[in-house]
Amino acid sequence: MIDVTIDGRKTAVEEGTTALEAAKALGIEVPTLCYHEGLPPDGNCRLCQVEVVERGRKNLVISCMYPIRGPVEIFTDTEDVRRARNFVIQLLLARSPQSPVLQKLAEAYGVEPLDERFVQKGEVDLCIRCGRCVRACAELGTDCIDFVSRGWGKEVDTPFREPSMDCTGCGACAEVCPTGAILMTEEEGTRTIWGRTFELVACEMCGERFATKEQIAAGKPEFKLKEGRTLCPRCRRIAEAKEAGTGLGTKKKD
Amino acid sequence: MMEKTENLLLITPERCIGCGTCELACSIGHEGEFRPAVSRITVHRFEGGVNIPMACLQCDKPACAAACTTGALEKDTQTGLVNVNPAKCIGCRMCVMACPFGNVLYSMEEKQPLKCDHCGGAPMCAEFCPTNAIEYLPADTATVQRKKAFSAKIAAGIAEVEI
Repeated sequence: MIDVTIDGRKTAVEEGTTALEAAKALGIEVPTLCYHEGLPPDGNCRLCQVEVVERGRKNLVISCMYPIRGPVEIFTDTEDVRRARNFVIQLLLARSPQSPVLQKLAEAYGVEPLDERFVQKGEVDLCIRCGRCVRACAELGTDCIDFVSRGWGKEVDTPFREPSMDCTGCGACAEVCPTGAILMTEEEGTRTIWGRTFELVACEMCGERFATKEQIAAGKPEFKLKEGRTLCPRCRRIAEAKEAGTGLGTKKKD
Repeated sequence: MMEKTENLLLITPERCIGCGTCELACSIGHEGEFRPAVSRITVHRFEGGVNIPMACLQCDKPACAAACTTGALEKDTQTGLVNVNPAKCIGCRMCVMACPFGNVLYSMEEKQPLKCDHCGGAPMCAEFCPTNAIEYLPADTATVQRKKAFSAKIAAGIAEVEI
């Protein structure tokens, strides 16, 4: 265990714990956008910067990517930290001025918008290139989206920008997106995401179209049929309840 | 095999009158509102006065946790519960697909799976059930036997799943 001090509060952490995890464990709020507890950290959004004092030297570090290796003192809310975060938000906001999430952060940190000339106009682009979706898809083993291009043209897309054949249409990428940049739409029994339209499978009891064929096929453990029928979770529960109720009641079952 | 020392949520459908109090208690306890749609327990009402409350059975080998790639759903070997860590959930909904009993739901609003967590040790459904159809009892042999009898009926046909 290593002794660390965070904002004046002493604690002990295992070697390799990140500065962000240590701060969170103490209940100290550090703003994040790309960090997700279920995914490996990637240090893309640069918002979680904190100040680390190690052997008398002061450094700004990305807390989600900073493993604690020795006794350090960490400050999460100094003037330098606020200035660094302020700048990050300003840049993010220049690309996605319409994002409510960024607008809220800008308000909290008193961010002045960048000179109009540097602010993206026209097309609404909510993506901040944080890569949460990319990591989520990789975590699921489907791995069908990644960053394409470099510099200003960098964005998330499928290989060759064509509908991916490996995509199961589960929508995890859209669920983890911190700014709501990924759109998943459902209409008339189909689901569309990343340029591919999936046919939704209907429940054989209530008729609700509840999942894509690919989602059901990708199930690990395997998707269980109920008496040979594909049932949605709710109907599966009703069917199970019915089984548990067999033999009960006042009326005779035929 | 059940080998827990903690309490169990025991359902006796013969005593259930289908009043739905458990659904209200569950939703107010978890969500702060009376909304059976987000309740982790559901009463299914059939002909002849048969009412079956259904909630997560906290399986020994949970399919939902096996399907979870991020560790958001994990079996706690100490308490016997299958716990949800919402911060780790990435919303792939494989747990919903995997549960053979349909006992895991997914909330789009909260971005997390909804399943019974025994309210952290004091289940509201058991507390408010007027007929003791839902009880929270120490996991001694007698309780385990009764729970198994209930589960066995459900599990008939799903032999591979250990409850």
